[in-house]
Amino acid sequence: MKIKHITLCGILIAVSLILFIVENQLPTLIPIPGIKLGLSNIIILFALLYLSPKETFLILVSRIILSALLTSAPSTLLYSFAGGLGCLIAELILLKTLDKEYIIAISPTGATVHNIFQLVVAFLITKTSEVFFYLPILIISGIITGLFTGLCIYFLDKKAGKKIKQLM
Amino acid sequence: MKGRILIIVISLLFVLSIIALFIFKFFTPNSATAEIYSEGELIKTIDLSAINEPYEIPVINGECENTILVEKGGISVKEANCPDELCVNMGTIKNGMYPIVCLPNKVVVRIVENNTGVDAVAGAR
Repeated sequence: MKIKHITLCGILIAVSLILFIVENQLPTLIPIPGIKLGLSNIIILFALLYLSPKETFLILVSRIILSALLTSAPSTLLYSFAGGLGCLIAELILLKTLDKEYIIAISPTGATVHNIFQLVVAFLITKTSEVFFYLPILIISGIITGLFTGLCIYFLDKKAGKKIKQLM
Repeated sequence: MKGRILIIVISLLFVLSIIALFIFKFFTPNSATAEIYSEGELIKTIDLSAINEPYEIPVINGECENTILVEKGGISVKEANCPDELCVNMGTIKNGMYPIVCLPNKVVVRIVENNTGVDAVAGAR
């Protein structure tokens, strides 16, 4: 890894942690577990676009572990890992097969996969199949929030993509 | 081309989910038996229609504590020491469909159909 990339990884981890904390402070609109903005996904998409998958994986794992330490909720680690890794793998495969232009569609898919993975883990832990009644609302929220994060990165890439590539 | 397919799939999922939400709304069963699960195990069954005085049930499992408030015809989580307190914010549930789930503390409160449950058992015999 180049030193430039290492420092960028550090900055991105810090930014995604801050986004995570800010997001936690926001009041919950719909009191259903799993519905949140997922602002950290912006960082993951950024890293997928401009850095390598390995570095993205590193950023994701450090963010999950550090955020669990910050919120002192180690029990949520499992949910975060399942959702985060599922989302990362889905977005990675889609970015490999599709054009960058379709990031607006890739991000909602990732968010939806994230929510579905978390739901499956919730089912495995609580062993109540009723949690799957949340599936439709989680898909809807995943698509909406994913669209938002996708648009963020879409406009970033459009306006500053070339400059960022030059700096790498 | 492939991107278009993805967009179509996502739109379809979105529409299907909205339809599913409406279906759930219309087919909500009316029932009055609440079940409390901790770590996937049923720890308490309560007949909500037979309650006159509201009372609280503590569910303690290790460091996780949830206080469940039982009222006539409804059940809610009153207090919890989980970080997000979503289970408290979910309010009172009165019937079917959506269970109260406290993911960090692995507590689930759900309402089941008491009549059909008995019938199903009776029918099996």
